[in-house]
Amino acid sequence: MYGRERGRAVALRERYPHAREVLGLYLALVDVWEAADSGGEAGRTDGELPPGDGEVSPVAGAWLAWAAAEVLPQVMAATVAAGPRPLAEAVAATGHPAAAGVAGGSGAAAGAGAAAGAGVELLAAWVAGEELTPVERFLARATMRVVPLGRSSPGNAAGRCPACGGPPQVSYRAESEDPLVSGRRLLACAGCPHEWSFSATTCPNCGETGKRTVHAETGQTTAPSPPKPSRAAAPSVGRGDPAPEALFPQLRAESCESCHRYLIDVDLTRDPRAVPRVDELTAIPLDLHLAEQGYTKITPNLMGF
Amino acid sequence: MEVSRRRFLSIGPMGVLGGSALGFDLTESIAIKQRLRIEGATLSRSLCPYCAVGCALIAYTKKAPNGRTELLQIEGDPDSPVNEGTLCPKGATSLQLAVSGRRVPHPLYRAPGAAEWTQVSWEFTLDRLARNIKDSRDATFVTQDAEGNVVNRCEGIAFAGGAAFSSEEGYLATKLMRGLGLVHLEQQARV
Repeated sequence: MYGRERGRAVALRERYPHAREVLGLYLALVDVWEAADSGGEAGRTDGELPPGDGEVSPVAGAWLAWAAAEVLPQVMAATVAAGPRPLAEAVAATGHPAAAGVAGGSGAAAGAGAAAGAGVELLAAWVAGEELTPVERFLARATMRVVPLGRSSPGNAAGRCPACGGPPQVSYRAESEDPLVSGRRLLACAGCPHEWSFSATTCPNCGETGKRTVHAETGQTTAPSPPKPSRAAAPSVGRGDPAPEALFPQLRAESCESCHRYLIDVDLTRDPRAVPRVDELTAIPLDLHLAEQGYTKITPNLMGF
Repeated sequence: MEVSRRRFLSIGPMGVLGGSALGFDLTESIAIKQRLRIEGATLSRSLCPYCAVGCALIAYTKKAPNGRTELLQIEGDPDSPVNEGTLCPKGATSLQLAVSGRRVPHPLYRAPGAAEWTQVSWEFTLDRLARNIKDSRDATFVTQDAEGNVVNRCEGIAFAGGAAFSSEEGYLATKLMRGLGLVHLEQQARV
């Protein structure tokens, strides 16, 4: 699982210099996740035990304690090492032993214990859906990536994750080998690794079935040229070929005109090697464009975009 | 140093970290955003007009600068339990029904014995159609059958309705043709 993400992040880091910083941090986090989740625990159900704990009650508390003690410090260390300077400084300023690079000693052990306690509080707050600062949210999400706990109980609300009730992070179209067949649309959860099938013409946020807009590149990357026929400026939508020389041939954004929320959409037919959660991180220029148009993403991604 | 919950809460408020919420440098992304030409297309659901299977379509449209709605793409709706995103070759080309560059935008007429098609006006076309229908009907109208029953029907004209008919168009065409006495009516909408 992490091998595909790593490979894709490396490839995209070369292709998209604007996302080098984001993907660099993501790659550092992938290493942390892989080390903490070597057995694929993130894909297990809530009922299973955390590593090294023989008691099942309370399972959630045990998971949080494990994540705060084992994963959060690694996430913080990776962030300090590979994150953008403001973020690294903010994390280092917490005084957490992992962020400060303290490795041993009784004082460090006491500090680590206190930090683990605060870490559990942080993760519990994130699970409970409390309001967090961007840095806290980032640390909690990056840590909980390998913990099989949802933010809330599963629900039947349209557009919400059937496993944990979380909002969708990214939409993608399943690959279709036949050019006459449109692939199904799936949503990837922002709160857990679950993915689920969802209507291609319905807003995952408000359920609106009309007034959907697809934003895509037209292939004209410079404006000064003389006006061209309107067909030439048409966005490349649907299963058609991407616009010539498109920078993001596999990416589009889908917005709802009722609630003014949007999701990045990844088309695996156009690029079968795409990994939706990773490709979505490179869509920063699209995110900026949509923000300029007055749209808000249903939920920001791990990196806050 | 003790790290408390309040300590976590006190760090990294929005705006303090610079470019993005987490401090990522957005300079390059902003430059790319300014170069990109991104347009929005409206997504609508529809049904294939060709046969009665009822394959669901997704149509992408865009408002052109002249105010007209431009059709950009039509494809199968993957949500439909009928076609699950697939379309037959005819349905898959339904975009061409509306926007084909090879579609003839005016009537063409080839006179009896002539080898060439010539462009004619709609007035000429409609008059000619009406005249031919009238002549054929007059020549082939049957008032009684072989057993002397009154039938009042036109056997010399057949009507083939378009597969793209809406219900209303099908109703209108049937009423019109029955009014002329036609008995040979067919249209794919009845499939």
